[in-house]
Amino acid sequence: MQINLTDKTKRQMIASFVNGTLKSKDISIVEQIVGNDPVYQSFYQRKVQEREFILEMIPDAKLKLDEKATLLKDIAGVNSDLLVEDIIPWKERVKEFLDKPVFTIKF
Amino acid sequence: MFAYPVEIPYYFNMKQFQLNNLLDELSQPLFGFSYALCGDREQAQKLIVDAYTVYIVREKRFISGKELDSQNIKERRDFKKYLYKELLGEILELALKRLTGHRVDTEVEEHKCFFTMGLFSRAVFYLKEIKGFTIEDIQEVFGLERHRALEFYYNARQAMVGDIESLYRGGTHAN
Repeated sequence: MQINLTDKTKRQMIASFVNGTLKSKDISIVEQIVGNDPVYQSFYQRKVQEREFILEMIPDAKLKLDEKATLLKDIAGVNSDLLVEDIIPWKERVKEFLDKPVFTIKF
Repeated sequence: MFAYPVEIPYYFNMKQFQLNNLLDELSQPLFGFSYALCGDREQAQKLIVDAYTVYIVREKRFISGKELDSQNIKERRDFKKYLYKELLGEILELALKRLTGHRVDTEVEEHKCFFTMGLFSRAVFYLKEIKGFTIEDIQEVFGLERHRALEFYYNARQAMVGDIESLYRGGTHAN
């Protein structure tokens, strides 16, 4: 299949492929571009390396076991403090409902 | 599975139990995000707890009324995803109030460039690159228009790539 795309478009598509932002229908086109041309192969490799560098530069911290236990304890505390259900007997709820007028007419 | 702490009085409350389990599973990804915003482990944990408290206070009615069927795996997964996104938004909102203008002093040389960026750029970039969020997900989490989400992403990317190129040249960091 002949691919009639400009050099700039091809490079943009390769970059999007590496970033994971390329539409799935275009993936086969990029595979063909990279597979057929050594210039685009080296461009693709450069982009992959660049991405690996970028990932190394972003902190991705993980909770340690003791930190996790403390955090979950705090969260459980919030839940038990704030999520106490207001238990109202059903008879009272019905009575409350019936006490309220369905509609009022203002003169 | 979440082990109920001994100090908290235990009574069988399905909602709390389910919620604690969900938060157990979400704690690592939320911490990673929170740390990317403040660059300090202790502060990151505090940010999560405070954001969670704010969220529960605001959404108490919704959360209390939510019935999760323990047998329905899809419903649980959907609710977990929903909660994850809501809490990410809440954490960023709280971080914007607390940490705007706050300078992060990290000792890790590779992370210096990342921490010089603004909070929004860091949030968008972290979720996109590390957690694999799509731009649509990011729009949904932070309530951004598409062009704004893309702007934050590409600006962050440009800053990072510039930093890599300066390292290639053997110079100091771009920022």
